[in-house]
Amino acid sequence: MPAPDMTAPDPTLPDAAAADAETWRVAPGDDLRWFDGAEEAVLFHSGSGETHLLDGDAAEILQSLEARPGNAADLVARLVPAALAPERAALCGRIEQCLREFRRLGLIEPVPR
Amino acid sequence: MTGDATRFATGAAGPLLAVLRDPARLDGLDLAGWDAVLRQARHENLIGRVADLARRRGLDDSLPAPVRARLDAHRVVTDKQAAEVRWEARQIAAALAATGVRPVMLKGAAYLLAGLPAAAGRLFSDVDFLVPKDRLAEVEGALLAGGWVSDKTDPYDQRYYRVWMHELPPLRHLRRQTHIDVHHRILPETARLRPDPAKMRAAARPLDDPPGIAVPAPADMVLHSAAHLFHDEDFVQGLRDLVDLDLLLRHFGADAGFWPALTARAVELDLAYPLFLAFRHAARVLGTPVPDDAAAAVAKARPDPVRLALMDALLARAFTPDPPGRRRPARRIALFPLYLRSHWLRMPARLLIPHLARKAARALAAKEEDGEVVPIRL
Amino acid sequence: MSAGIPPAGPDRARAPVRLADLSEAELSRRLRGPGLALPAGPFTVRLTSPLEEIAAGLGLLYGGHPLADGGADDPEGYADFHLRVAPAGGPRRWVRPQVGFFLDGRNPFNLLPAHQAFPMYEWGLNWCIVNLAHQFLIIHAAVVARDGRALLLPGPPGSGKSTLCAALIHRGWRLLSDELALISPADGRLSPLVRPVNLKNESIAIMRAFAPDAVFNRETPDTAKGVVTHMRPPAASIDAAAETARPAWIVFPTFRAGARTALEPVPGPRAFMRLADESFNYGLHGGRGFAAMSRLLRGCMVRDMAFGDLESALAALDGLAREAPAEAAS
Repeated sequence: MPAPDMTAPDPTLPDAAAADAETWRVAPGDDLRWFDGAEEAVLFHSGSGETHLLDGDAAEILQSLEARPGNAADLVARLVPAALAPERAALCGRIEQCLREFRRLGLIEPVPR
Repeated sequence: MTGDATRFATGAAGPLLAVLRDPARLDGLDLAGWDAVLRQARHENLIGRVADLARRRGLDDSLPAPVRARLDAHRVVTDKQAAEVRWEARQIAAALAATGVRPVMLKGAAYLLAGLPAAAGRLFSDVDFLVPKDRLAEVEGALLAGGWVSDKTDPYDQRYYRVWMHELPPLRHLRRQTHIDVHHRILPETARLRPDPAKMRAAARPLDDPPGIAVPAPADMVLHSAAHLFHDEDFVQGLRDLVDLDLLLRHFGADAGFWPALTARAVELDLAYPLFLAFRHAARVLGTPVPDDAAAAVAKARPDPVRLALMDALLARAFTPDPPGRRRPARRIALFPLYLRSHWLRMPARLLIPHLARKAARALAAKEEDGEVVPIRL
Repeated sequence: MSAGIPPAGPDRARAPVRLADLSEAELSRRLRGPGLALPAGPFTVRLTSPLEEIAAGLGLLYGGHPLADGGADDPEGYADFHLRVAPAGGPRRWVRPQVGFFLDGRNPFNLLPAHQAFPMYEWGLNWCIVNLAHQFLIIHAAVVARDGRALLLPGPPGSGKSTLCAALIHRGWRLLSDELALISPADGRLSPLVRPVNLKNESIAIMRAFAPDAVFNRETPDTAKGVVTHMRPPAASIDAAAETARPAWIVFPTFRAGARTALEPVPGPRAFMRLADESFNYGLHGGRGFAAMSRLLRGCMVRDMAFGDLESALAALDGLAREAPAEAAS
């Protein structure tokens, strides 16, 4: 069986577009522990017991969600400085890709409505 | 019922059984005594049980240092496995949520998620759960979408499981390398006894944490354990499973109403014979306190004296640990601890220091780790 | 001399009985009978073997080691690992004699040709430790120390760490282990595992030249790793075998013939993942493993070292050792 496609939307979610509008959070009861470096960070996730290496952007995104749940648009607003407004669309795509990956790894979950 | 009990506690085969039957013997144990107990315990997957007994007796601070270290080492593994089982259960619940099927966890995973003493310090092999037979295809589809794939890729193996055994082959998660077993019946197709799984599912208790999962009702947990231990007279799981039964019976049996419910349920599920054997051998080997009326209630399932004597002899042998350092050839005990499979222990002769694959360390782009599972008979 | 237990006298301190204090006959008797109680760092091994190679190898390489039971010779004594190396195998055993390694009567892996008996003991013991000793965080690394501070050399076979380790312990460093760094999660300190140093192929000749007075076991050809032997650890290392050390430097060596020796810093997160990869049981320790690894890295200077020759590598490591690492944040 081929390895799952990392860039595709999460097939277990009912609708890819809807997925991007989901509000995400780190599950209550899960602990994220960080070992930070200048450009990358190591993350330990207590729920899964797994350890991951994240690049700086991904770490920022996850740390932002850890502090406060949000959806992709929230994260764009929080993390993309005004000066980079023209890049917004591309950066939004990057954020959505990270969210899908975090979901796949079990690091975040949708906030129950 | 307890008349023959002493026979099992004497002699060189005795140190582990002696402490299981009488935990007070741990109090004065010297290093040599610990050596004998731990050697047997390791082979029977009962180090965690012995550690738990020592802790409950308040011995932790007075244990000799090497023993303390041994037990700590074991605790690291069992803690990790418990965390893995919990996580796996969460993932299974999430994967099946959309189908509306609520899996009923079985065996060790059920003991852990239900917070039972039988879960303390145990090593797990698989995560097993029960679903309705008519939902099997849906369940398999949902699990596949969640990243679990069939472990047996050989077409013959697939046929063996699906067509002959009417079961799903064991599944393995692509990324986590954990193993799950999806069941729709309580005993294998080949078993003579056919307890109705629908009854067990109907009586199952849903859990709060994680939601979307259930565990069997207390009587059913006992009966499931007994059924597996005794259903096939040729193959016995050993002392570990008997200890589970002992722990379940003591825990649930503290409530006087449990016993009549248990024996009635046994008759209802056509599992009175395994329960009869469970009472008999748990009492003999481990001194489990079984009330007389409960024993009487399953006495009808007692086989004829010749058959009973034969079963007694086979089972007595199976429940007696090998003396430390000696291995009696006729016992068939294969241990596949979860951590050995999920951590991909490889032992070709060439690399005698195997490098355990780490599930824990991954770059953001995960890749599937190929490995060879070598069953270890330790 | 009697069965090996020193006579007790009023003014004689109870000196530990060392393996060298046993006569050859006594050593052989114990191995063939009740077993020999060998220390292996924080572990006790009880070893039995009818094989001459084992007795000879132990006599040559473990002479300075104190017996784990103080010479008591109690067959019921406690051991972490009850081991046996003995002839095994079916009908072919007369044509091609083989040996098996047994932990508590069970053989966890394949048999080897009989002449590989001694390496099999050492490898087998390593296997036992990495599979069972989870009271430690265990990293695949050579460990040496000076003045209570330890240098870890993590790396797969072929990185050159074994040769470096063997050389360092003849140049003012003491041996903690040639293969296995045993880290206590509670305090982050390293426990020594002073045992013969495993060398193979070219390293053997290099070390014979580098340390002409060192003692080597007979060479074993044709193993899966090539030609192997074991080198006796220096007496100073054995004498300090119970002293833990605080990790201070982590250097990932890479041997490349002709390369100019250079040290490069390694960013923390990358070092973390590389060490986790070189660890046998990082994942088992869960959150405690993450904390232990974080503490290890915060307290150490971490470098990559490419090197082309032994002397310049040793000089670079000495230079590094003169720099004090940042104090560990607990």
